[in-house]
Amino acid sequence: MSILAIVAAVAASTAALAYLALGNAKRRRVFGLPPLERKAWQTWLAISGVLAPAVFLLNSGGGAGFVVWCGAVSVTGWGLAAMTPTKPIVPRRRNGGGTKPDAAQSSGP
Amino acid sequence: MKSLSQSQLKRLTAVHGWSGTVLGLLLYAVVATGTVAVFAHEIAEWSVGGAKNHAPLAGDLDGKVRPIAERMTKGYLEEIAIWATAKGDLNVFPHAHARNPESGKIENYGTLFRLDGTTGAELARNEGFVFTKPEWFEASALEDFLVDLHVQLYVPRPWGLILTGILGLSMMAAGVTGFLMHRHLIRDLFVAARPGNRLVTARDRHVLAASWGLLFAFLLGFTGSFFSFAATVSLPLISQVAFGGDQKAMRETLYEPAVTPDPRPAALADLDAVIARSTALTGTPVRFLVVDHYGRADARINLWHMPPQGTLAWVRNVFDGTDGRFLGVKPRVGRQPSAGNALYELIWPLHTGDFAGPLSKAVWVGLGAAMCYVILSGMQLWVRRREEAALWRGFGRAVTITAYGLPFAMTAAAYGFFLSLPAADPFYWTPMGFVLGALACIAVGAFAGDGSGLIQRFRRLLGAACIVLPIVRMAMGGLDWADAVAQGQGAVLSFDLMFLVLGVLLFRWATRQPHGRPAGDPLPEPAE
Repeated sequence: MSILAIVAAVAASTAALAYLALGNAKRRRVFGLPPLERKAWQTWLAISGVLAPAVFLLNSGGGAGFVVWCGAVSVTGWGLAAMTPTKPIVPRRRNGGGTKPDAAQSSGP
Repeated sequence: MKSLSQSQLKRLTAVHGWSGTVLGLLLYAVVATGTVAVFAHEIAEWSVGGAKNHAPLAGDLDGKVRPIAERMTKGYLEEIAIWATAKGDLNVFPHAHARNPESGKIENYGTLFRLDGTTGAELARNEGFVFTKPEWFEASALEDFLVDLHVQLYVPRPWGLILTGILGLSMMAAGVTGFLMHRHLIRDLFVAARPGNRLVTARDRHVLAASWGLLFAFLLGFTGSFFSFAATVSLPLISQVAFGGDQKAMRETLYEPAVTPDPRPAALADLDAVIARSTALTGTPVRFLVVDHYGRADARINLWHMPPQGTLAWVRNVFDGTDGRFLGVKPRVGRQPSAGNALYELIWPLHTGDFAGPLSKAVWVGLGAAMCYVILSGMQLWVRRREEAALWRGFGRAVTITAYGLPFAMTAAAYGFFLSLPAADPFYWTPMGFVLGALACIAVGAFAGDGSGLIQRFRRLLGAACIVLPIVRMAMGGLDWADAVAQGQGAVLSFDLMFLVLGVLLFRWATRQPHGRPAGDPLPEPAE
């Protein structure tokens, strides 16, 4: 398994992750962006696009490429998700009125 | 996932938060130093000005080792260990096993020869329990210090190892409790931190980084604990339970190939031919070599290779020491391939990322940096929820000081190393540099500025330290860039450039407003 193949696999998965991040409904809602109409099959295709390079690496090597892919996608996925979308809305406090409180506020600990 | 009741959630939050708060700063120290230690070998090469010979085990090794072995007494020929240093020198270590009166343990006792990797000329010779004296076998005090700091926080054995083992367990516990607490892990996987300076923004940042790093937090915590407890708890326990306390019998059963003792004299096979055969079989270079029972008919030659392309585990080939026959690949533990051995072989590469060259190491550095972010953002979140209390504001300040002080102190350790190289003992001044750097940061943190100004000041301080470090390295006689390029010393050039880029980025970062308010800066707001 060449280094180039691993880098290409990580790049392909990252591109698919970027597509998923771009259309993620909750992310768009939280940042006040209009929903992006996507068919279910498009989302599933993107998810397959994330995972397919991993399957390829797993099948074509002794596991090293797959492990590097897992680590690299964890980092690039975090980097992608952490980037705020362009033109974010200025959030308002719950007691401040204005925009509807975002749904994500109720999630997590 | 089954949703938890309010009281269960409250208990989990308490376990998650308090374990992170009590051990968080130490955990950050272990993870941050581990992130740096991923490139320990390359740091060693950089600090000593590059390796004079990148493959000293591949040249005329037989001609260098055989004359040494021939003049040693039989007792020291139980094993001859041979490996290269970061400088490209050769360490040749004929030794026996004896009980060290200081530690009470069976350790390697013998004469360590340091040879020029190219000519074979003897550079140094030391006799004793060699692995208790890093200055005898390590080329770089900086590498030795950074690895020691990560492995046992510079606390004497076994306490340092037990401490880092507990920290690894706490990292796993934080991962598990965090996973159980977060009810919408998949749904929130793409939700960036909401804008603003609110408590929920800080929580978003922590949760997002933790969600993406969850798998590796668990993996790195587990493998780290495994190593820490192996030497302090597991192996002594196995030795007592299965071998009646006989450490030698345990070592031979677990780690040595089966050999029928045959003390008849016999000449050793040509080492260079064995190395060439082993390299052809495995496809990767030899990194470590041990000759068992030199000069006897039952001699064995053991060669450790880096993982072959596409695989994770190091390979140990065993050859007959008299006729050079290939006897097979020795599992890491036991004498037959087993599931336990397969798992055991994965622990090292999964913990260190040392299996696919610089690419896997770079990814592991990214994962380590992400873990650092999770730990720090978790502690900041914990403090922000309690910042009305002066005690917690003080803790928040301690988090900021540690967050920036630790990298600064590690850089100061590098200064201690380089400045002491020409005339003093780097093995003393490297840790001393770390201590002085840490004290300087504590002083700055305790007496200078408010929370926000403090962060900017730390960034400038760290940035300046990074930019000046390559200059100091060269001023102290280190390899300059032109020679580094001419000699193909990639590590020297890469690290110098990395420090310069890091320094510039830190300066630029210092001119920007920090993410949110620092934890020590009180501004109460309603809970969200």
